[in-house]
Amino acid sequence: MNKSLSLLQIQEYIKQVLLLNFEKPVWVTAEISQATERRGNYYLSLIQKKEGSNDVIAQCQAILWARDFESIAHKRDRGLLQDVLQDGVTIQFLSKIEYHERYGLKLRIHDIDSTYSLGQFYLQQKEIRQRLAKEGLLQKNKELAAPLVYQRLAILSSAGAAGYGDFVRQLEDNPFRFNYAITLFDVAVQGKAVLQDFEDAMQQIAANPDRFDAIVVIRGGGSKMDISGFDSYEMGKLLAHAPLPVLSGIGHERDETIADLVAYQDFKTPTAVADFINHENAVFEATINQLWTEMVKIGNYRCEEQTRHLHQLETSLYYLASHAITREEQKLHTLVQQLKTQAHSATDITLRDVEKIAIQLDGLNPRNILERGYALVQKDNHPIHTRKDLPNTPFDIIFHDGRVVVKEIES
Amino acid sequence: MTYEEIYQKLHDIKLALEAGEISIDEMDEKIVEAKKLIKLCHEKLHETKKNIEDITSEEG
Repeated sequence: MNKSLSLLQIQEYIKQVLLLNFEKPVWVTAEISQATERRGNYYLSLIQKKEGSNDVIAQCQAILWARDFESIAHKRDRGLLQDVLQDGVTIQFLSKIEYHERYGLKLRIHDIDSTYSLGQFYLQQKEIRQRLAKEGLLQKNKELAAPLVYQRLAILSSAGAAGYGDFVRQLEDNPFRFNYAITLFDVAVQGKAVLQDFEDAMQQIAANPDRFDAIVVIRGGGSKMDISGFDSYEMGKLLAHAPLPVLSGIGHERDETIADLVAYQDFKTPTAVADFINHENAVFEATINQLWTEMVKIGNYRCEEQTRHLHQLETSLYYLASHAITREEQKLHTLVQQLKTQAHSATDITLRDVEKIAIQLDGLNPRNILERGYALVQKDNHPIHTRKDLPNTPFDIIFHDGRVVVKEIES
Repeated sequence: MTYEEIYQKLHDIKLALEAGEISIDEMDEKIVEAKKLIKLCHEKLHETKKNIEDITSEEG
């Protein structure tokens, strides 16, 4: 029979070895893979990943008792302490290594250097920013065209969040009486579900982006680590690829989150987003009013100008027509005059000819011949031209001043 | 017919008159046509002005 140790003996032996080697508390650096708080006690599952990979190479449980938490919170920033006790945060803590025969190894936390976690956080943020910048994602959403009006809004927020209520109030109580079509995508704004909820909401928006003018991401005030859901690379990439301009109003104390960084425009608070939307719409309305005034002015001017042109054209048409008629009348008058002249001329010529003929005729007139001393012998009104034709019977000798009847002639 | 088309027709009549291309026989016909076109232009202008005034008064 082999000599063996009982389970308790081996556990006690390990406990002794540990006590000898870790007599005093030691500073440990580890990532919280899961943090659970119960009655003020924090139960942490700690891991160490292989550098540059997600492979877990070491794992251990740790506990921060409520009284130790209060003690640390008393000497350090309570808010920051709460912030660092979150999943995914790398912490540096002072720990007493405890070994229990039944429950095994456990690290009891006595102190936490919360500034180390903050530093780690900023380092991580820097790396995410550099990656987003390298991939051109910081400008991607900013390069989208701004809508003319921000009226149909897709809101990514939690229905119960104070920030959402503030935003809606500020938007609807606008002095310009603008009406808005608000569609709330009720998403988690804290915890592990944030990214998945945002991905689902974004998928719905992207399926029909024409329904909206812009996407608004809002969350009320939060502590530094509270809003860690908005600080991941995945969230940055998701918002950068949004099909519409993203306005972020993630209430927070520190500098921009990754979501703010990739957004079309970021604001410190949800109400600031509402103010911006109201302001942009007021500017648009003023521009439209100004355009309208100018259009009316130009319209009236054009109408008056056209009336003037029309009047000028009308005048000129009637003038040209009258002028053309007058010109034709003048031409007609000239023609009549020419006709008259030509007619007179023709008449004169004829008259002269007639007169000439008349003179000639006059010369041939027997009466004129008789006046010149000639006499005409007639028998029964027929002229006797020769002696031999002279009859024995009475005949007439006609002088210019009278007739003589010759009754008898001597032979 | 649009305002511009009507106005162009009037303008063409004017140019033809200036160039002496319209005979006396045609002139009567052209002047009657011009008169009708001018009336149409006036009507369209008045209608436009009235629309502007109506919309402006609605806005006010």
